[in-house]
Amino acid sequence: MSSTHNPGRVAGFLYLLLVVLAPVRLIYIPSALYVRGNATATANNIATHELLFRLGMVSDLLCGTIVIFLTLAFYRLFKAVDQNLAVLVVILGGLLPAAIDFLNVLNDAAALMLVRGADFLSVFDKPQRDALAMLFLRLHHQEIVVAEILWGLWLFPLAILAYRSRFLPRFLGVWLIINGFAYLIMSFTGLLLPQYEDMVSNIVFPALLGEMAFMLWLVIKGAKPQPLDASASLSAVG
Amino acid sequence: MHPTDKAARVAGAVYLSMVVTAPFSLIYIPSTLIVRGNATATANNILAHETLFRLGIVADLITSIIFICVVLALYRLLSGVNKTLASLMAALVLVSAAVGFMNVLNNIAALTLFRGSDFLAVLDKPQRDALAMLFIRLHGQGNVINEIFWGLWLFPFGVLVMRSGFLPRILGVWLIINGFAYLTTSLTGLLAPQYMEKVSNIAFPVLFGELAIMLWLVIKGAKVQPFAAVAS
Repeated sequence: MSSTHNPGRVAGFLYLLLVVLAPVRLIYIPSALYVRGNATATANNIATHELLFRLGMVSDLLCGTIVIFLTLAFYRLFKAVDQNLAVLVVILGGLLPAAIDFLNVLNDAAALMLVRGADFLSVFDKPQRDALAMLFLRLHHQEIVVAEILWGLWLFPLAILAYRSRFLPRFLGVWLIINGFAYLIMSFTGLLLPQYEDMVSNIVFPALLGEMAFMLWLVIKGAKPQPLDASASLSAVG
Repeated sequence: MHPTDKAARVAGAVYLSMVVTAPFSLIYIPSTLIVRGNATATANNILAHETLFRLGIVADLITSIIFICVVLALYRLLSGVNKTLASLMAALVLVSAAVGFMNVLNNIAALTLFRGSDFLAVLDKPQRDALAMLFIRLHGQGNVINEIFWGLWLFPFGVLVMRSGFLPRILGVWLIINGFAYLTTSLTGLLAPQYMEKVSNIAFPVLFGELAIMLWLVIKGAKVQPFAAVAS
């Protein structure tokens, strides 16, 4: 049962780590520190809880790093199923989102600099600095909306691999495809019809549990690539 | 020359070329043009030496390109040792190169603001300079963030060197320590920036691990064991 011999479980635990860490910056920091439409209150919150805000930045960077390791773990798990699709998983789900994640932290860094108001920024009054900080926080959110395209797209090759693998239940593959569409819908709503963003997020939320189900399955049941030949796989199980 | 030995020397030579471009944009440009905390003085310096500043931008981009070439050369050298670790090493560097490219935009934004084209005339010069300074700082922050990758890729690299059998194990260990130094510097910059300078000074000697492996690869190449050569 050791996880080193179970590539599915390795991927599962990395996924679990991601599911625990991602909401820190995605949900907790905005709900704890942001005051919608009020730049001054938001800036004051960030200034009084600077370390919390900095931990949010670090959690973003950790997530960006984890997705690289996670998708490489998936590559190892699925390369025998279809190597091209497995490479696509690494590119769409690992390398590109990681780069975007890392760059997005710079928006937070900019907001923090403006909130702290270093000497050279004193040519702007505090309301101006706060407004600029708010702009960078909004940009951070917009970059997430943009990244959601990739968060959706990588699930398609992943879902097909899970569906075809024979060592994972097919309904998980189907759920992942729906999950992928949900992210795409959220992203395009955010870009084209931002007034409906919250409403659409609430509607598609159940679809986003597909990743959660997939993750839990991998953690609990694990997965091992098996030879396609049935008799060989029987002996491998034993 | 044994093919592995040749691959080692090629990787070392490409790697060594970074010693010219990286410190130019990371150390020389900031130390000559940027006056910490003084936006006006920085603006004057950069406008007076605009070409030099632009060369820094180009050096940044070239460093990222060389970084990609280095990791591909190292992949060729070390993928035989362990393909998974070699892929991990390459993946980390590719992402780092993307971050490096995008980070250049901060310097370009700063230059645009310092030059103050017509459409920026609605902002006073002190405000333009302050905004430009903000972007210069962001470029620095971009490097702090990218240091995470500059550290992380050295872990698979170090392990591959240790396991290779044709490179000295001590260099692999040094690379891993070098990796920790980058991670420590980066996390200090993000969480406790007031200690940044202190930590950088302590970590500095460790960062020569990369220089050591570069020089070893170029000068000594790869010592492929005789029996391995026969077997291959």
